Amino acid sequence: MKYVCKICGYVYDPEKGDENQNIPPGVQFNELPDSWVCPECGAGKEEFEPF
Amino acid sequence: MELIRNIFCIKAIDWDIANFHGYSTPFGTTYNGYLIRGEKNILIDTAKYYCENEFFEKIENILPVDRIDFVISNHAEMDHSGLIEKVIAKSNATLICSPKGKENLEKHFHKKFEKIIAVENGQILSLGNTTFQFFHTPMVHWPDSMCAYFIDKKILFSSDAFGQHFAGAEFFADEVGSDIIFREARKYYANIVNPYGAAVRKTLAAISGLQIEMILPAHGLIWRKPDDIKNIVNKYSAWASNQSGEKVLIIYETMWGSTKKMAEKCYIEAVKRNYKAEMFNLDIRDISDIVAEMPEAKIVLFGSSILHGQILPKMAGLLTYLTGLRFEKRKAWTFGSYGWARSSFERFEALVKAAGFEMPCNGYYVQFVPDENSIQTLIKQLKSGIFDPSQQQEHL
Repeated sequence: MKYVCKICGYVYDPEKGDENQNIPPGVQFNELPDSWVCPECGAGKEEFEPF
Repeated sequence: MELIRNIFCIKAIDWDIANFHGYSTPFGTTYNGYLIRGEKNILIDTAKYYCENEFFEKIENILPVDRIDFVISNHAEMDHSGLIEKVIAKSNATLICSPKGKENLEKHFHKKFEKIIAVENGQILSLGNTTFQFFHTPMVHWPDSMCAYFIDKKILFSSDAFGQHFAGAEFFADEVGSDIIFREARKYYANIVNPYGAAVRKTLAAISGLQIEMILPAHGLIWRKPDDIKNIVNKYSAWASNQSGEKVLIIYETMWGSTKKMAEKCYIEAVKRNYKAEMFNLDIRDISDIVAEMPEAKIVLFGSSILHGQILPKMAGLLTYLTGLRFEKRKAWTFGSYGWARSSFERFEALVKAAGFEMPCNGYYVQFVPDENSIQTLIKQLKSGIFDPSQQQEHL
């Protein structure tokens, strides 16, 4: 499932992952490490909601 | 203009702008660069590309542009970054920005800057005989935004935060009436910063430990009086908490005057109940001026006629705009008139809800022209549905 950052609107897509933070494609949002932050605005995981 | 010794405001004044991508700017606006003259000459932010002549002439009045050593870019948006490439081409200065700023400036200019320092949040950097500390302030107002604190002089270069769209001969907020400048600061916050309240709270926390003797924003006037600094920081804190205000706003768009008639009745009833009420006709008022009042609002009444099975387009535009601005904790009610497509109001109510308003009850809609009975029903529904029962009725 995709998740959207409530602060800036960035959408985390598990099919794409997040290369810059070493998250390969296929990692679900709830599997992301707690240290992962929004790649656009730096918000923590708690600022995300289902998209 | 030398603000204090060796610190200059390089203000590019956009006298002609009346509409800043949809935000009405009746006073025009300014793009404020700041120049620090010293062992190293430092320019903080630039201006829109078409302000080139004025901007460079104002710098040259102080020192030759090619003597600038550092350019601090607090924000990659083009009204502040528009002349960065030209300043660097003339001076070979080193660019200083946040890591996100580096990324975004490269995407704007389609090039890599050779001499660039991407500063971390909280990083302290000495440039000649001056020392800065940088605070990342993502989403106040873009992901790349940061503030630069000039430690030696206790001055905060705040970028878009605490700014106003206000052009004039003045440089300081205390040179104009405080009602005017705080109103413009509120309009700016409501239209530009409001969606990012959580980010504003983080920014305020980051700067709360700093001694600040002057706030130098990238638009409008500078805050220098201790009371003004305290007030604007407190206002930002209140606005960022999204608390509702006290006013009733009646916002409507009308075709044949029926919705207008209902709006005027809503206004009178609100005043009778001793609310501070304001009425806005979307055919006449600009949406950014309406949004400027939203931080003060407790209840918002939206009225529209129905055209081709839809609410009127300016109302639809306002609701789209408000959905992005994410005001919270305000109650709303809808009203309007229709010819035959009454069901269109279901979508109207859904749009108002989607814009973040609490709707305690359905709206009231009248076919064609409201008669005395429908006006009485409107009043009854206002009383029982949206107006606070504890709000006392008083004589006009």
